[in-house]
This record gives sequence, structure tokens and C-alpha cells, in this order.
Amino acid sequence: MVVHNAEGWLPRQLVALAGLNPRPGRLVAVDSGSTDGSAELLAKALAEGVVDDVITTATQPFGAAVAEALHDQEPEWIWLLHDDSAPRRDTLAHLVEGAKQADIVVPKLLEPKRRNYPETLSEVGQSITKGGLRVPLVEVGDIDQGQSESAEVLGASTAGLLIRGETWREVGGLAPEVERHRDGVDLCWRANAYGNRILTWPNAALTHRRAGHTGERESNEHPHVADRLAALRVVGARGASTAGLTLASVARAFGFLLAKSPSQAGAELKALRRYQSSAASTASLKDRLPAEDHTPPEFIPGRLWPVKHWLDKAGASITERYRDFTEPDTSIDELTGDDFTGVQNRRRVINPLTVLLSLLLVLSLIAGRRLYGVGDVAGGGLLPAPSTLGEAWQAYLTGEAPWLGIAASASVLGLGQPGWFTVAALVLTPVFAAWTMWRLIRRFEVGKPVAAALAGVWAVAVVLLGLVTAGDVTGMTLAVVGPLLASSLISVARNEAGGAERLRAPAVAAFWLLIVSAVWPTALILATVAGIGWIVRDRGRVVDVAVAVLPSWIFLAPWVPALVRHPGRLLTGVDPLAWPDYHPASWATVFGRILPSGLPLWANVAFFALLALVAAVALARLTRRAWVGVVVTVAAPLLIGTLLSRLVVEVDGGSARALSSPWALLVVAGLIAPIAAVQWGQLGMRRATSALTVAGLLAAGTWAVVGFNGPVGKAPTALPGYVRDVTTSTRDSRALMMELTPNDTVAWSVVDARQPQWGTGERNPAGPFAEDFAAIVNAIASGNPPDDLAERLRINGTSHVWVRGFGADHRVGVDNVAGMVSAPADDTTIVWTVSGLVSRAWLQADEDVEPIVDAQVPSGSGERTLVIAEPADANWRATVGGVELERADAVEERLAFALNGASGELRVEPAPHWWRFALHLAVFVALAILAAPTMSGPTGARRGLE
Amino acid sequence: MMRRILISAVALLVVAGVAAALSLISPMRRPAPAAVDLPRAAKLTCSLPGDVVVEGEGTPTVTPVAGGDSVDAAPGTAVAASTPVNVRADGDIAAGVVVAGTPRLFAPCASPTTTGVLLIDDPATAELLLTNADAAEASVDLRLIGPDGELSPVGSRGIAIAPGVTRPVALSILAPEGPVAVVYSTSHGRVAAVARNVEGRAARVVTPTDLREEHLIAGVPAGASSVKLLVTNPTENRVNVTTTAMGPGGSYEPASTTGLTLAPMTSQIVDVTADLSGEASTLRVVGDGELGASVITQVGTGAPTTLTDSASVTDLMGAAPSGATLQLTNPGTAAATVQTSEPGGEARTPVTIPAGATLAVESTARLRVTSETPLVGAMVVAGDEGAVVVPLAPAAGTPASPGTTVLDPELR
Repeated sequence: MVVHNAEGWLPRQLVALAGLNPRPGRLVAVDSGSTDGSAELLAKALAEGVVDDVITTATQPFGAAVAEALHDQEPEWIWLLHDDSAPRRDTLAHLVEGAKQADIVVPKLLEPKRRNYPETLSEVGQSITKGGLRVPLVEVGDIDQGQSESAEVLGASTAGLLIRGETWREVGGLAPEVERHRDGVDLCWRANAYGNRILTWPNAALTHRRAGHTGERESNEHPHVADRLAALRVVGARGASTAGLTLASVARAFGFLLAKSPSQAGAELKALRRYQSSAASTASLKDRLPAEDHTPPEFIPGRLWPVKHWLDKAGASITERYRDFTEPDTSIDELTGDDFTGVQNRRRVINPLTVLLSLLLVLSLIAGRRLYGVGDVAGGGLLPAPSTLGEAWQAYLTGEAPWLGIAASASVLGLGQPGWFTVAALVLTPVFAAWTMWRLIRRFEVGKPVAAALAGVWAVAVVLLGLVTAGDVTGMTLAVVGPLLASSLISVARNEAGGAERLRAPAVAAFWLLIVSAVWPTALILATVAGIGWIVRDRGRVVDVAVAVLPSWIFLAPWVPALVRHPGRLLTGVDPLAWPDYHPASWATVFGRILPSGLPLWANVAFFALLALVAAVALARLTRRAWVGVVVTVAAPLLIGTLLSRLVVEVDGGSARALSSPWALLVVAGLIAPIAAVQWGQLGMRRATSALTVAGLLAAGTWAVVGFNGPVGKAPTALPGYVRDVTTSTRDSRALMMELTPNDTVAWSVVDARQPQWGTGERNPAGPFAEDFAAIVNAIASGNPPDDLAERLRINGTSHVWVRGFGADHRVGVDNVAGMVSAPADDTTIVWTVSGLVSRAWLQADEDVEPIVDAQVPSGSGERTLVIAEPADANWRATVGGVELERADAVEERLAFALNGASGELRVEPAPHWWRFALHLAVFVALAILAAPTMSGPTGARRGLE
Repeated sequence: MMRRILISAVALLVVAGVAAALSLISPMRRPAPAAVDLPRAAKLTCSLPGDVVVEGEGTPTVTPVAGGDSVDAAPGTAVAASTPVNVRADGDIAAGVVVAGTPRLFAPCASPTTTGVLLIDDPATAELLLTNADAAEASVDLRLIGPDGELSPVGSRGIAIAPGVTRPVALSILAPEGPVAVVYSTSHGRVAAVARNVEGRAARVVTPTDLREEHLIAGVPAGASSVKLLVTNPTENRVNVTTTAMGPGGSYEPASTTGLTLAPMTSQIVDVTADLSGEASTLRVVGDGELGASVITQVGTGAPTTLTDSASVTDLMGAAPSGATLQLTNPGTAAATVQTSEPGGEARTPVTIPAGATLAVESTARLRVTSETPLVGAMVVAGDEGAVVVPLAPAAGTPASPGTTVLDPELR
């Protein structure tokens, strides 16, 4: 038994040795340079006869210490013991039994026993990959149920290894080149190479503390250095290439960095450097190997073992998380509730969450019946989705608002079809909102029935507030993500982990805050203020707050200048200019009538009045402090939201009404909070909550009947197909649309291949030439179109004018303008085509104008300019034949590029903001790394000790 | 517990009550769309030959309808035109033709339209000139409404007019007896319509008006020897007509028009000469349905002059032969302070016009009139040989309203 600075656990080891039956013939302890109280303990053990001899040496490797103990003797059997590997009373007996069949007997190593926990496996033999990875032959941490059977193996830890004396001599004992760790594997592997039989004998068990691995035994350097160096040397001596090992080590070091363990990464690289600089040792070890290797090849794992192992671990992790997700821990409420008081343990067959989600899913699918089928879905605050996933990403890359990237990413959930994702989001938002609220409420150990009821209340409130039927994308997002953010913040508050593991909860909170802030920037302001307040109260939370809040600021940083220019945008949601000017309700605002939901007002009044009543009943059961807190939590957002609903704010390109839905959701959350806080067991609350559940069911049923009767619905384009074909062709032209509505208002818009769609409500929806188009619209509407109408349209890249509902005078007025060719689309609609094949891009040489209709720039000479129907300062780029063109002086205040003699295929498009994409990606990757499980190697905390 | 529940409920009620009170605050309105600089390219068509007089902004040009070189027409000067012409400008303009002959006549130029009505007291001596000043062919349908109902003469439908062509239509054939209202409408294109006496008869011009419920007809000259109101009801319902005369002393209802009612599809002429007592006047004609109205006035022994509806605006302009008298009428309910000036010249002393009254003052050849309240007016040159009445036209800054235009991203 080799001992080194083992004062902390040596007494237990010695007690175990004292109890051995049978004892070994001679038990020699080698004190390898201990500087603590180990020597005294050993002396005492010697005096008490626990050990037969104590040899004190300078600090030296395990193998050298063993050699010192053996001198030149060759006992029949050698039993190697660590100072932290306590054998059971009968361990040696079992090993001897196994020795009848093997040259080296490998015992079963168990993890230290924990109170009230069963024994768990640490190791029953091991192997090693060609890259030096340790390959356990049992699942570390599995409960020891005697499931392991005796088997031949490649190697094992030296702890408890019983070696035939002849074999020891034959293989030359432990190799000094493998100083610590893996020395057992090397020994056994060499024994295998000589044709010896290495056999595990699970009946023989030792409790292996692994003090060296876990860092309990103090060391000057990271324990991984020695372990990895030994592994490299073991496999290097057996033919592994240095280049391959270098590559693998660097990759592993990078992986350790991703797993937030820089010390482990440093140790990996340090071991690699030492290995590379000690080729002589590797060669020496190699010389110890026999000329002919008898090692059974099946003992060595295949090359793909690391990949399979990683996938296996990842799959197990996912499975475990899914189980945690679907089977939350039993709450105190349940353990003390009626369910556990009966004589019989009744098993709940149907989970309330399953019932809730199933019911909501069915009702939502019925309610969304008008949205299914071919065609865009839009209306209210919801603009049409881009046609393809690529266009969604293009909108993000060329647009300004960061939420477009999140929307493009989320579109993957719609099988890559943003339109499908839109429909799914509209229909399923109440379902997901219920689910996330359920998870939040369950964090407070609220019983499942109450949690399900309140999650249902939340979902119904989302519907009655009109978030889905009015296309309030911000409200929909907050309804789903808000509870997740709240839940993650609770995790941050309760976070007691240390080291890198401590960053996980704030990183998750940062992710959800980022999503929320992207759609509602006010949230970031509020979170920042709250975070600063938290830091002032508890300075130990600086890192938590920084990790939770800063990523959102970094993510939104490119957008901040726009927010500073238009601070009103902070009070609005996504695409603020997409909203028609809905006149805010008056008193009905208090009942959640903040948007035209298309649902009957009585449903709002009845539901929210009942919710407030139940909340009042619940409030009465709270402590005074909690009572005040809840009332303030309800009052503040209600009053702020009501006031803001009266406001109109300036945003980029126009003005919009402040968004009320976030505040309304906060009010609903505030009303739910006291109900959740009161225990289900109270009879009054049970009745009240049941009544609320019934009201919620009735409201949800009403929605199922009424369906999407608000602004959101199928929104087919009114433009004839031939116009759309032109606007989406290489001509990339615009179409001006005008309609005289029944209330004598002239509605108008400008349509092209990129608008209207997600994000175009972040600036003037008519595009950069809104004022020009407004003048044209006014002129046409006043019956006095200018003679140069066609030219005005041409320089704006407008190929068609679509007009509906106007009288003959207006139509004839345009008809008589030169260059406008009319064609009736239906009884009330005329489409004028601007003659001359108008395109967004044209060639200009002196006064000659030649539209580019097929994306091909013809060859030519002289001073030619490519003019784009975009503002002179527009961030567009143009390439001809793959060569990017340089900008030229603006032509008629339009963007121009110097073309000269260039010819070939023309590509003109908005310039993507790649640097912003890189920044956003970096933030997400950083958050993913921070939120990912921290590497819990041997030096990490063990589950049982957490 | 009940007490605590009540307190909690009251607390929430108070919060809701405060919120409800806040919700009664009138929401801010979205600002109206920014004012846009409307393209003011104007195009008027003058169907009759004569001296074209233009007043207004920009640099007007006069171009023959049938094609040809353009001639610049500086405001205040006359351009001789022997054929129908188009007058174009980059701003708002008013133009008319001082028709040569005896007596001298003034015929306002007008934008081509798709519909209109000409009220003619003696169709036997008149012909209709339909000018297509546009680049596309026009097709015109005529409806003739006489005193006993609608006439259905052959040749009144589908009158095709090629671009740049002026086509005369002899009303003496279509409607030998008057009075008659000629309601024209186009199925394609648009036309400029005007009626005039056939050659050999005293020169006379009738310009079109719109069908509407209210007409303000300004420019009845002082000393008129004959003033007749000609009204037509083109609808299928009876229309009751109320007429108000606005003279120097204020407004009153002419006795001759009391109880005036028009049977469906009929035209009627009423002599109000005695009611006006030879005073410079403006007539307001209001019906309980759409109707057309004009006033036929005669001074001395000259040919009658037909007056039609004038625009009631705060900024007026006009140009007339020298010696004109300016007649301004305030159709509002409050007195109006009016500023007159010659374009480019100094403003004259403001004058006040009582509500519902007409004021006659000396005029210059070119005139700009501004007021805080809408006015109608005309420049009148009256003599023994008749009267030239030039109605004042809206000046720059009062373009036709496009109505409310709203950017609507849902339109796609």
C-alpha cells in the first residue's frame, strides 16, 4: 500500500485493512514522502499490527514505491493498494478465488458511500482508446446491484489489483514511464501482450476514494495533467501518431473550453507539451512491450467509440431532461395534500397539464379554421410572412430590427415555411402560453390542479386580450416567453452553484430576456434598472446580473442608435407601423379590451371580472406584505398601460400607438399570482378556482366558435398575377395601389417583392419614396394627375398602378396621361401599366435611359451609369458579372453606380449586415456555452455532495 | 376573513376605477399625413377661337388641340387662337377666351370632364362643340331634358370624337324647342363641352356646369334688363328648389321662385328680373336633389350671357377686359373682410362684405382676391351691347381636395 499525504482518509483505510479476513501474507506500507500526519498514522498502524512493515521514502511514483517495497522479492501474489482504496472484509478472499483463473485479478471499485444512498460503481476494469481516452467497462455511478460479471479485460486501476508474481516479473512490473494514473492499464495491457489473462472479479470490492483524481490529495498541478500525460504515453508507445494525438488533444482542449473548464483545457495542452518533449520516455515504454502482441483486439475500442460515447451521453442527457420536464418533482403541496392522506395511495391517471393542453389544442385548432389553406395570413399588427425561409433571413440581414433574426430562426419550426410558422404561432400561442405558465407556477410548488387552472387562465387571457386575433406579435411572444423569463430569473435568485456552473442560470435568463427585449425593448430598460437595484442590495449578484442583462444590450447594440433617434419605439412592439389606427377603447380597457379581438365584449367583462374577484379572495389570505406587493403589481402596469394606450409616439417613418399588451399581461400575471400563492386545500379557494376554470373554459369555447374574427385572417394579394410576376421578376419593380374605401378614405400602399412583409412596419411601410408616392396618390385622388406621372413613377421603379373604387373622372384623368396604359382588372379596378418596361434598375448614358429587364447589362462603351430606384444613400450593392460596382454621383437623387464598359449578369440587392449577424451569432454562441452544463470532471462536485 | 376579502375587492375596484377614469382621457390622434406638395400641372381646354387670357402660376403655354407649336402665355397678356387650344401650366391657372364678334363674349376655359350639363334657353339657334383634347378617343352620350321631359333624338348617343378633334352637334336638330338641358357623359375618354349660337346669330356662349344640390351663380350684373333662372332636374324624383338672391342689401328669396318645383326629367325657366331690381346679385339655388342651374342675364340690347356655378373659396383670381367691375358676394353667415390686389401690385384698401351680400367695386384687368371666409365673384364689363362676365376662379393654393389618404400596409 503506497501512502502519500493521506491523513484525511488513511484512518478509514487502515480500519478496513485491519478488518481483512483473510489478511495478506505480508502487508507493507510505503510512505512516499508524506508531509502530513500519514507517517504517524502508519507508525500507529504498525504498532497495532495492522501493517507488517512501513517503508518511508522520498516522494516517488506509485510504481517506484511498489518496487521499493518488493525489493528483489517475488511473492506468489502481489496485491496493490492505494491509500484511498478501502477493501471490504472479504475482498482478498474473493480475489484469491478469482486468482485461480487469472494472472491478474481486477476487483470492483465502488464510489465512496453516501448516507442513505446505495453503493454505486466506480470501475470494474477499464480500457483505453487509441487516442488515450479512458473507456469504463461499467456505467460510472450506476447502483451496484451485483450486476457485473467476471470478464477478461484490457486493464484496470492499480487499486486492489492482485497480480501473480510470475506475471509481475514477466512484464517487468509497473513502468516508471507511467508515473501516476493509467499505470494499471499499462501494466495489464503489457500482461495481455505477453498472453496473460486479466480477469475482473466483481465479488471482490473496494471503495475507491480517488483522492488524486478529485483533488482531495493536494497537488501542485491539475490532476488531469498527469492522467492525460500517462494516457498519451501509453497509447503513444503502442503506435499512436504524435500528430493524431496532438490534434485530438487540441480538439479536447477546445471542448473543455466550451464546457467552461479552462483549467482542464490548460492541463490537456500541458500534458500534450510534456508528451511531445518526452519522446525518450515513450520510446522506453515501448521497449518494454513484447515483440509479439497477444492482446485480444476486441479489448481495444474502435475508432468511433468517442463519437458513439458522446452520442450516448447526449441522448441520455436529453432523455433525463425530458423526464425531468414531463415529470416534475413532487411538490410539498402534493406530499401534504389529500392525495397522500388516504389509506390507499391513489394514482392520478390523467395529468392536469395533459388535460389542459389537449383541450386548448383542440379549441385552438378549431378557432384557427379560417387560417388554414393556401395564401398569406396577415392583419392587424401582423404583416405577411416572407415567402421562403431564405427571404426571411434576407429580411433579417438587410433590415434593421433584430427581432427579424429570431423570427427567421423560429420559422424553421414551420418546416422552413415562414407562412406556416405564422399560422402555427397564431393558433398555438395560447397552448404554449399555458405550458410555459404551468412551468412557472410549478416552480412555486403549487399543486398540479391549481397550476393547470391558472395556466388555462393565462391562455384564455391571451386570447381575450386579442393578442392572437389582432396579430400582436409582441404580445404573443411575451405571453409565451414571459413565463420562461420569470422562471429563469427565479433560478438565478435561487442559484447556489459555484464556479462556472453558477453562470448557467443567468445565461438562460439572458437568453429569454434577449428574446423579450428584441420584441419589446422596454423590457431591457426595466430589467437593467431592476438588476442595478438588485446589485445595490446584494453586491454578490454583480456577476449574475451582468450575465443576465449584458448579452441583451450587446445583441441590441446595433439597434440602439435607431432607438435613441426614435425613443418612441421603446413603447411599441414589432412592426409598429403595420398597425391600422385602432381607436383605443375607454372603460373597456380595464376589461382587457386593448385590441380588436373580434370576440364579444361580454366575454372579456365576465372573465376578467371573475378573475379579479377570485384574486381578491386569494389576496385576503396573503400576509400584509404580500398583499401590498400584489396590489402594487396589479395597479402599476394597469395604470401605466391605460395611460400609454392614450399615447401616440413617433417612430421611424411615422407614428404609432404605444403597445398596451405587455402591461396587460403583467396585470393578468399579477392577478394570477395571489391565487397561485394560496394553497389548493383551502375550500374557498378551491371553489373560486373551479369557477375560474369554468369561466376560462367558456371563454375558450367562445373563441373556438367565433374563431379568428378580428383583423387577422387570410390576406390574399389583390394584385393581378401578371403584376406580381413583374414585381417579383428580375425587373424587381414596385406597384402603387390605391383604393377608395366605403368611408371615402383613399387607402394606398406600395408593393414590391420585399414589402409588405415582416419588418417593413419598422420604417415607413411605403418605402423610401413614401413622400413621392403620397404626392402621386393625392394627385390621382384629386383627379389631377400630373402630365409627367409616368416619369415620376418610372424613377421610383414603379411599373404598375392599381386603382379600385374610383369614378370615371379619376380613371380618365390617368388614362390621358402619356405613358399610362390601362387595363380593367374587374368591375371597379383598373391597373395601369407604365409603358417602357419599367425596372428598378436602368442604364443611363447622358439623356438615354434603358431599363434593365433581364438582369443583363449589355456591352457598351462611354460613360454609362447604373441607376437604381432607391435613395442616393441607400445601403444597396450592385455587381455586374460578379464584380462589385463603385458608387457614382446620384442621378435624379437616385442611387447610382459607375458602370462604364462593364457588362454581364447584374445583381442588385440590399447589402446584408454581416457584421451584425456575426455579433448576434456570437452572443447566442456565448449564451449557449454559458448555459450548457459545466464540465464536471473528477475535480467537480459530485451529485451526492451538492 | 370576509372583511379581508371585502378590503381586497375594494382595493382592486379602486385600482380598476382609477384605470377606468384614466381610460376616459381622449386618446391622442395619429398626426395627419404630412402635407405633400401636390403636382399642380394644370390643363384647360378652350373650345372657342379668340384671345386666350391666362391668369395664374407657372409658365402657361397655349397649344392647339389638334397639335402644333406651343406658345407661351404670360399672365395678363392675350394669345390669339384660331382653333381650340389647350392651356397647360405647372401651377393652378384660370383661363378664358375673349371671343371676337358682336357683342364681345368671354368663355371660360375648363378641364375636360366625363360628365356635365349645359343649360340652353334657345336650342334652335345653338350648336354644341365637343372637343377631345386628350390623346385617346372619346365617346359621348347626350341626354336632352326639355320642359316636358327627356327627349330621345336620334344621334345623341355614342358620338365618337377622335383625339384633337372638335365636333359640332346641332342642337336645333336634336331639340328644336327650349329650354333644354344637355347632359353629356362619356363612355370613353373625356371632352370639353361648350354651346354657342350658330353663325348668323348674335354671339353667345354657354359653358357647362355640374349636377349638384347647391349652385352659387355669381356675376348677375347691375342694371340687367333680363335675368332668368334656368334649372333642370335630371333625376327620376321631383326636386323642390329654393332660391336665394344675394344683392347689395343682403339676401332674400325672389318671389318668382317661391315654391319652385321640378318634375322628374324636366327643365324650367323662371324670370327673376323684377325680383332682382337690376342690382348686382348672386343667386344661390338649392334643391333637395341633384339639379343643374344657370342664370341667363341680358344687359341693354346685347346678347344674353349664361352664368353658371362658381367655386366658393378664400383665394380667387381673374383677368378681364379693361373697365370691369368686380362683384363679390359673401355667401357665408358672417361679414367678410376682403383684400383685393393686382398680381404683383400693392394691396388695395380692404373692404367688408356683410353676410349674404354682394359688393360691386372697381376692378383692374388682373385681380387677386383673398378673404378669411369663402367668397364667389365675377368681373363684369357691362355696356349697351351686352355684358362680358368673367367668373373668378380659385387661385393657387386651393387645389382640388384629394380627400383623406391613408397609407395602409394591408392593401397588397
